[in-house]
Amino acid sequence: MGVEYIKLPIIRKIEVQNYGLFRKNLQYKFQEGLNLFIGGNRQGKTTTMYIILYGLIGLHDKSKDFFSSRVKQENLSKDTHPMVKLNFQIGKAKLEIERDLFDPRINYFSVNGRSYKRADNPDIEEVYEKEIERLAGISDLADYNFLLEKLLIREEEGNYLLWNTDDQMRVLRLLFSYGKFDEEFIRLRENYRKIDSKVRGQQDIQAQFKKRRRAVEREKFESIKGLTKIDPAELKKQMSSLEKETANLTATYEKIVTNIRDIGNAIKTLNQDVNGLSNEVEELDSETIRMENLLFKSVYTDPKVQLANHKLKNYQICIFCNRKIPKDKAQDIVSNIEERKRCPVCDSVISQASSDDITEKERASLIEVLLKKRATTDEKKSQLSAKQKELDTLKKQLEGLWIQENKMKEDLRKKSLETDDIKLQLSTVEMGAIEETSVFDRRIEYLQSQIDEYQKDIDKDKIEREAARKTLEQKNREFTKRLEEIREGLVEIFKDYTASFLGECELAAVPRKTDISMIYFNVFAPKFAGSTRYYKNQASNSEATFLEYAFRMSLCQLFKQITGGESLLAIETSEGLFDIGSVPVLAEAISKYYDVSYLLIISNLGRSDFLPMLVVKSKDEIRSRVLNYFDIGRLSAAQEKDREKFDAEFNKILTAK
Amino acid sequence: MPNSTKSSRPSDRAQSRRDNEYFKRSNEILYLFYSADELNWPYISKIGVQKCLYLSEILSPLKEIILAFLNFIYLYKGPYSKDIQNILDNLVALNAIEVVSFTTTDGNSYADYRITEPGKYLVQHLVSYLVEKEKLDWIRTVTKVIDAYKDSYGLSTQYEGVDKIIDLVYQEPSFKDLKKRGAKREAIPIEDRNNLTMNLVNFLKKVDQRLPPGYEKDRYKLDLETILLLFFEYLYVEHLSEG
Repeated sequence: MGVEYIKLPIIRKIEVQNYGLFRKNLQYKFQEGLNLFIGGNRQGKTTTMYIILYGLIGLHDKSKDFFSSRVKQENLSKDTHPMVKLNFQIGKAKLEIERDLFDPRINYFSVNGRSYKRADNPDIEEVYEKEIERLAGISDLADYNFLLEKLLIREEEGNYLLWNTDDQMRVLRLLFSYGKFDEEFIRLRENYRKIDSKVRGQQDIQAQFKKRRRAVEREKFESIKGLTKIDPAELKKQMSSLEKETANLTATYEKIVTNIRDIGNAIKTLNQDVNGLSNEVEELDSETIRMENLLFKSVYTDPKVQLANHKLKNYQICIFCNRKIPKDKAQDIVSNIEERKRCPVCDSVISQASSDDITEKERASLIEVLLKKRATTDEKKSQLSAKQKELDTLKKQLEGLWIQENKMKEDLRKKSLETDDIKLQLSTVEMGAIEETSVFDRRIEYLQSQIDEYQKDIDKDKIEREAARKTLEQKNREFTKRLEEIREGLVEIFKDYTASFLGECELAAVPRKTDISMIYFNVFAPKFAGSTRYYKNQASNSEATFLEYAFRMSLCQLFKQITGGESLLAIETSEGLFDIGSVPVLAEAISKYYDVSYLLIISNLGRSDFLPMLVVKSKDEIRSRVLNYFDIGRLSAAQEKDREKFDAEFNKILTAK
Repeated sequence: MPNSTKSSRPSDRAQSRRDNEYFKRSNEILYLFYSADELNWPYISKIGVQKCLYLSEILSPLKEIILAFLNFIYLYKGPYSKDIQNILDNLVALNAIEVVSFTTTDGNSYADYRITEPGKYLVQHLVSYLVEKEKLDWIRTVTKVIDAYKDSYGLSTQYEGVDKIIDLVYQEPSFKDLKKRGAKREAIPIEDRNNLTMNLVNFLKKVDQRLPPGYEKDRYKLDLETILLLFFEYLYVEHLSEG
């Protein structure tokens, strides 16, 4: 069986046009190796990451005004559509997509040159989703969103994949399992949860019965002590009043049921009427539209309006420049219009005067028929709306009755339980010979029978739950085995990245209990200086940040090793956290990564020494790899003032060797 | 112009509906130019067409008439529907409308249009169908009122002719509301019959019901044109009071 891994997207090019957050349009081509976004705060670096994510996935869970709200009122560009255009690759497939930033929709996208436009595909979002799912081998576009947000894009104050059990498990499953393993895994887990919650629900009800049994047992005990006496006359009185209440309830209940049946039937008939009428109206409407179109077409294709064609055909005069053109050329154009019925400019199908067209006399009678048809339609429409109103009223009545019926059922069930209880007590008392305490015994027996009934169901479901748990565990074992297979490779890469910062550091497989009891999932946690760091606060801020970068870079690199699949990893660096001595180590580790893969570093020049150190390993001209937000972003007054200082820093980066 | 006229399958029906909308929009644009010609307007500019049709559309519930749906969005220079411009260009290609002048600067184009003789002939044919005649009458009424206001004192001097009503359109409640909220490119709620514009129109319409006892209500019932005039007077006063 061929192994099918997920394919990750590699962004090739981004263009952002007419977006008021920027002074100029943004255009950037990503290259293999290092890519750099540099700029001051609030110039749109992080927003660019969101734009990339939006370009690929759409808004997902972000609000509709996500992008417009980031732009100051006075910078909202006028009369133009802000949009993002992305070129990217999934496996060998080349894709291009354009989305509107303010009006969340796809304008067009293309896959290997085949393009889909919004105008031709009203459901373009769905088509895009299906294409991506097919190309990437994922079961839902949300998987991509998850991987981008949790693994491939790391914001400055971002999440820690290394210490989030659920996120890490899912990322590992998506990257290193195959054949839609994650989808199947989630399905099995949900199945287990469902059965588990059913068992718990039944146990809750059973617990109620147990509680009641205990209460009766207490009553029995009190009775033995002579504190409680059962009075048969009182019991009979209670019984007769209960019977009366039950009879009343039953009568009302039956009335309601009859009403429900009657109204149900009436609704059925009315529904048929409404359906019939709507069909008629729809038919009439579309017939009217068809006839109107015939009328309009005949008017618009009137020979007197078709001057252009007429002039070309008979006088060989072009209506654009009013010049005479050669006869054969004119004939070519005319035949294109008349025979092929194609527009001479854009070659699309065009409307032409044809033999179907109607004479003026026919037009008059057509109008007459049309007006009659409209009158009939109006009449039918008003009938339909009356019937619909009637239907709505009945439906509301029915809903009310259903609520009443349910309440009655519940009341009747309660009464029946009470009656059973009293019957039991009475029968025991009436038997006379039996001791008073046996009344309690019968009640306890009855409650126990209920408890046993529930137990039977619970046992049955528990077997099912156990089976579901075993299947899930089996799946989990499969994946744990898979993790073991990859662990060695991952640790080797991870060690290489972390050695100069932390010395000997590896990834330990740590079993973590999740919300599903009894099942442990293995995840990775860093281990250095002799101890495993299970929680983020067991490492310093700079250690945690460094480890997080190293973990993500290791995962991407291993993924490339195993599957051959590339991706673009984007890291918004927090170099400010690191002290002077460790900055070169950070730069070196990151350089190792971009030596083998695509990397985007987003930096605000928090430390002036970091970037020159980082770019020094880049093999060729760095200028073409840098997007400078001071050139395209909107600068604050302070930033304008510091522009020179920034330019000097920027030059240091460009000339670093 | 759309091509298909026959319908049977659901997809054909949908196409037929789209064609129908397209024809109707074309018709309404022609009615505007026809009415303008009756009033001897030398031309209507690209901007003017948008504003006149916007007013015809948003006020159409007044006459309980349903015009082809046009999606107007809020833009800085007033309501704008891209469909109008595209259909207008198509009508030019059909020789029903002609371009009086056309200039481009900085990628923006400015054009003035008027109806041609074939265009008028076309309208005369269209309005032999009563449903279309009612639309022409409505647009004619709106155009007449626009004509009465277009040269009023205090309207913007940066525009000419009918374009000057842009100042009044700025005061139109549905548009003004979006403007206040800075809701750029948002659709103007034309289909919502309870929009601010209709609330104002309904208020004007029911003037007779607010008369004190003793007045003969029938004598104060307003006709369509008067309500329209009242509405425009409101826009005008709002504009003047804004300075």
